[in-house]
Amino acid sequence: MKFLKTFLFLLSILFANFSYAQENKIIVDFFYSPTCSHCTAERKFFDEMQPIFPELVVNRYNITEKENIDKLKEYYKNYNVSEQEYGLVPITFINDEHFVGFDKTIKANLESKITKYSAECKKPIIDQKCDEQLEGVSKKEQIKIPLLGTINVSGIHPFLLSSIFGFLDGFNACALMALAFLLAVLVGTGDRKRILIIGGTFVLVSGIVYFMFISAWLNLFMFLSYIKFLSFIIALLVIFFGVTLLREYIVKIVCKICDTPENKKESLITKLQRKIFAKMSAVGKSSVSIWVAIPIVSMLAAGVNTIELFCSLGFPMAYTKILTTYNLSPIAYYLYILVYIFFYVLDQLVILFIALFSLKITMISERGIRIVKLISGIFLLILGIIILINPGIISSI
Amino acid sequence: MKIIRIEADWCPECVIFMKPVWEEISREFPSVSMEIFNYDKDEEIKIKYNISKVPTFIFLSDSGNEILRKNGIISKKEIIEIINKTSV
Repeated sequence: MKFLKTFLFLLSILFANFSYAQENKIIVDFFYSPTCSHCTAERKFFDEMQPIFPELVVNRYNITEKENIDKLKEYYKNYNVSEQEYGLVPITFINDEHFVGFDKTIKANLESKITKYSAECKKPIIDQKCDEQLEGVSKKEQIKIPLLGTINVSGIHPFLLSSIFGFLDGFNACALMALAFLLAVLVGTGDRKRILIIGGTFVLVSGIVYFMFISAWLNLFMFLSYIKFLSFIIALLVIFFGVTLLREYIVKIVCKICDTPENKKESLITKLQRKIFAKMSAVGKSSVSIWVAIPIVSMLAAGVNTIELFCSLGFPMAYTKILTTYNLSPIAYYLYILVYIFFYVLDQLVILFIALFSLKITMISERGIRIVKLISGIFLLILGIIILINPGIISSI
Repeated sequence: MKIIRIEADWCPECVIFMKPVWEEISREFPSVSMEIFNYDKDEEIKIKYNISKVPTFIFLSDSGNEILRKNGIISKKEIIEIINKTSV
């Protein structure tokens, strides 16, 4: 019941209102006439700039519409536009400046301002929160890490970031163990159709559940962004997960649920994990119809991924926290999470297809799992330190 | 010689790593008898051999005395070495 409540809570976060993600936009108010050639050139310029700067919002006002003329009059007043410039188009307002016309100089000027605001997270309508973050801007671009030197974080494209994290997380020991367990049972049946459908269902549902959880993390972090020491807590947690993995590598822990000491009370998570693994074993071995097996495997995949999330929390946590520093649109956030999931699932699909064709579980060995733990541990440790020593990354949410 | 394998339905080490190894050992050493027990169902064995980790493999002599016990993942090479040593 507790587990169900936690699941529903996380779901509610997932579908929570995302409007706060609209903060930190570069807002440009652009007044134009559809028949003016300079206006067309400037419209094209903004069309080109918007994909490069997702945070750029261009409010386009056609001055042949009466309501926009009224709006323009208000802008004239607010920006102290001289009367000689009244009626001239295009006219562009950005931050506390305005530009009349559109030529090479204005284009270069606008371009440099947008680039500058983008880097500095400065909104034209300056808000305090954004201003406070300006102090950390120069630090945000580059991070100095002891022994590793300087790393340019802001230069990493979110697609690359999502691919790397998804790829590495796909090899996390907990996710691998669950999939390998199911495949090992299925391979024993020698039925390739069952391996493909049941194994495929498991991978697919794992991907969906993981997507939901990462989205929930993202929303949670954005929702809690007002907590000043949030980045500190996240950094400590990421470091904790990194150290845990390194400890498991050093003391050679491959299977955490295999110890059964008499006098030690087993945790609820261990009991649940055992129950789910036993069920997976039963479903994999049984000769029930595939159509009966699919919903059972789907539920088990959802269950095992929920539990394993506590095991591999470090990656989604560090990823979502870093992703929020990119100031993307809500759709872009979800698209990048999908990129993460694509690479996460891709690793598992490769293992599934190798098992399907060879009827063997390859790529997964005790040594392999330990190496994965070592690499993941070091990676999480570095990420934790990055988040810890450079609050600029996190505080730009 | 006889090998007692204490395993469990939920044990990844048993299913992923050790099952294929034991299948090969059975084929290559047909004279070695093996008995598999379920940790959750065979309480008697669990108590008799004081099992605290799954999987546990107990190597017994022909007279039934415990020669050696191993926990967790062990390599095929190591198992063959144990079989060869105890058979001499």
